Amino acid sequence: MQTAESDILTQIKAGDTGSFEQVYHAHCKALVRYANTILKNQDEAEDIVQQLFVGLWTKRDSLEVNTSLKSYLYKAVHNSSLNRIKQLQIKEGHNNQIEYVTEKYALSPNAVLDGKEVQEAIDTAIGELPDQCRIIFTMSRYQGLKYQQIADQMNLSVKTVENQMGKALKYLRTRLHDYLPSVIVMLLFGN
Amino acid sequence: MSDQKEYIDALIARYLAGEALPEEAMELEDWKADSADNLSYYLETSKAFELVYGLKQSDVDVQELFGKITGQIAQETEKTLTGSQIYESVKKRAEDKVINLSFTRFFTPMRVAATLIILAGMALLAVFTRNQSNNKEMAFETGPQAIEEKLADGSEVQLEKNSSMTLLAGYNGKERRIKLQGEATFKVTHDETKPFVIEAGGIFIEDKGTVFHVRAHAASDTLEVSVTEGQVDMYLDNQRISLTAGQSGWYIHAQGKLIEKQRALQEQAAQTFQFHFDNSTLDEVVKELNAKYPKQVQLGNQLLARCRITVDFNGESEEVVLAVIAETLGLTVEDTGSGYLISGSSCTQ
Repeated sequence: MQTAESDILTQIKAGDTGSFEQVYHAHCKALVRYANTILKNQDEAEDIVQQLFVGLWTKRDSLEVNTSLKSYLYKAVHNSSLNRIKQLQIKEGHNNQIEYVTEKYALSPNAVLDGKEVQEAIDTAIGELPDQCRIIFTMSRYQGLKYQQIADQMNLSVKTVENQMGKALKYLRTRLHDYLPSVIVMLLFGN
Repeated sequence: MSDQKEYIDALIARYLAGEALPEEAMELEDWKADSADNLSYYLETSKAFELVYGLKQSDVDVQELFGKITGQIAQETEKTLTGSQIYESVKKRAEDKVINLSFTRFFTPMRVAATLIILAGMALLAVFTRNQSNNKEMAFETGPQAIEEKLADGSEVQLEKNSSMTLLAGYNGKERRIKLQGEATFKVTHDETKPFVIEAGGIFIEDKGTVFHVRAHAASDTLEVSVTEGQVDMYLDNQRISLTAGQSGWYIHAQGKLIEKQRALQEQAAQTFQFHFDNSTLDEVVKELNAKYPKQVQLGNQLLARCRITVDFNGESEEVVLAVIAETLGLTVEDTGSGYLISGSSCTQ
């Protein structure tokens, strides 16, 4: 039984904690995940979402949502996360966002398997990518460049960069399959 | 069809790289929720990404985060209300529904002096005046509305909806004992000479000067205590754990175990389990999952107990295991923070 979104918003404005909690539970995980992809830091991501929901409740009277509430939440997370990066970047004394991001991509050995074996497998797999794809991927992974920056440097469209990254990830996913937790085997009863 | 695949691959890559716009993130979440296959595909890609980029992913504790949110809201709203504003707002609420109103002095910090009687819908309340110990038991029960109570010793309780609590005879005499079923938040006036103990869900919860929340529904549920301020002990027989601000403790019925929540989840994350179900009933499946994972699973509907499934899992997280089971049988899984709930009216054959 889904309450229409506009109703939920009205209810929250009216002070209905149940609706507030409902919205929280419906979107919390996805929002933290989203913030985390931008911030590369779980604690920071949770903090962003925490402040978002605190603000949503304490400022509910003056809340003006033109799109859907869900849209509003995702946009807010996006904006806050980007702002937070700027803040952290200044705080940590980085000259630019690139340095900040590359530091987050540490080379950490896989805890379960032998670190060296995994790293070799990763290196080999990356080496097997088609040239342009490999170069683009390397710029993202090892130089921490954003898509627009890669596109500018290589004189390509952002769309091309996106597609190449998608292909790279897909290839690595299948190639490194053995190093990921196992696949599920399913048989439906009576099928 | 392959265009669609390419589109999704590019979308997932964008998302994981932190380049997704809000609409794109929403689109991806919708796509993931569409089928177990989509979800698996995303998870595998995400894991590959983590592996290659050297990132460590951890799950957000939804309930704990919500506790922080409500805690912060409480702090911020307290700051913005002055003493007289609080007086006015309480007096107004009382006037709307009062039977008998007795105000001595409201909201002196530290030691509260007010007494209120409010009859509201299904809720039952009783009268307290300061520093009086009661020789009888006093019972409180809520229906669809939560109630707030100030007890004889100055402690404050917010009893959530559909819950009940009983102050045992002699409360505020030599000790302060309460029996609780359901959910409540306690702000306890610390008094070492009069131990404050709650009996709930088969265990004991002892205040050590603090603000904490207890969730104890049916006896079979996992009982959860979340501490906002101070310290609380949970004990049963020879098990005892101490919790401080920001921590939560679980009593897992199926395992007879008291454990601090973060540790339970860490242990769970560090372990991978194998499951082999061959035409097993969902009842059996849930029992086996609950024997291994600290985060307990419940069936929302007893009819589902007889649904059957044949499936193997090898090294998957509890989240993925449940997602697959739910998808296979046409059911839904809900993460309640302290556990999981599988619901649906029937299973797909």
